Amino acid sequence: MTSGVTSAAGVVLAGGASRRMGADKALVEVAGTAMARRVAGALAAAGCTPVWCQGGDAAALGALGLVVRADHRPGQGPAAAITDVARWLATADADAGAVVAACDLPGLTAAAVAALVGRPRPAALGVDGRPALVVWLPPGAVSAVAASRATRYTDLLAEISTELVPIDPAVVRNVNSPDQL
Amino acid sequence: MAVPEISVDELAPLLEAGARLIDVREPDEYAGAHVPGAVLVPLGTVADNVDVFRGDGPTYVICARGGRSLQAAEFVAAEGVEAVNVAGGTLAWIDAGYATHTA
Repeated sequence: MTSGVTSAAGVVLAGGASRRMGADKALVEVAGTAMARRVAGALAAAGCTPVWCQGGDAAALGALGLVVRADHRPGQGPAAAITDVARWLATADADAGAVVAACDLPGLTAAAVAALVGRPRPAALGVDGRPALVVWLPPGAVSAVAASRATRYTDLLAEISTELVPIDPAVVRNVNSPDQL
Repeated sequence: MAVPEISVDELAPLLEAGARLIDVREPDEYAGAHVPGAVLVPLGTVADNVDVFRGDGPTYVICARGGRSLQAAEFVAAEGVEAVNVAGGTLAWIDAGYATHTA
C-alpha cells in the first residue's frame, strides 16, 4: 500500500431476493448491461480492488466477468452481508477498507464512490438524510463491523457512527421492479 | 494490491518449468481451446477455490483476453496468493502460435 493511499475493496451485494422484480435483480440489464456489472464497473473505475459480488448466482455472475463470494447467511439482508464482508477483510488484508454497494443502483458513478473512499470515518451516500446502500468502511472500522450483531442496515450505520455524504438522488435511485426501469 | 502481469512469451518457458496456471473462463471456452496444463476454475467459483491458487511460487491466471483473469488475480492476491495476470490471455497465446489442448 502506498503511503497516504487507502486500499479499498469493492463489493456488490448481489444476494437479495428480488421479489418485486420477478427475476434476479443483479442480472437485470439496464442499457444493455446487467445491474451488478454496472455497479462493479463503478467500483472498479473508482479504484477499488479487488471487486467482487457478495452472494448471488455464481455461475451467471461469473459468466459476466464477476468474482462471486458465497453469502454465508443468505437472505439475512444487507447488514449481515456487510458484516460478512468485514469479517473477510479482517482476515484477508488488515490495511484495506471496502466500499459496499447494492446491486440495484444502476446509476451509481465512479465519482460518487470516489467521494467516499479514503475518508477516515465510515461514510454512506445519502439523500435527504436517508442513507443509500453505498457505504465506505475504512480500515479502522472493519473490526467493529465484523463484530456487529446489527440486523438492520441503518442500525449498523448508527453503531459505527457513519456520516452521510449528500448525493444526487439519480445516482442512488434503486430499481426494485420492472416498471422502474 | 496491484497485480503484476506477464506476456504469453514470458509465460511459455515458465510453464515448461512447471509453473501453475489457472484458467478462469467458462467450461465451454476451456473445452474449446486452453493452454496445456491450465487448470479450470471458472470465475464465479474462484472465491470458493482460493486454495487451488496457493502453492510454492507465483500462480499465473489466464482467461480469454486478460480482463476476467485480472479480477480473479486481484481477488486471490487479497487473500495472500502471489498471483500474476497473463496479459492478452488465451487469445494472445493462440495468436503467438503456441499449441493448445481441447476438452
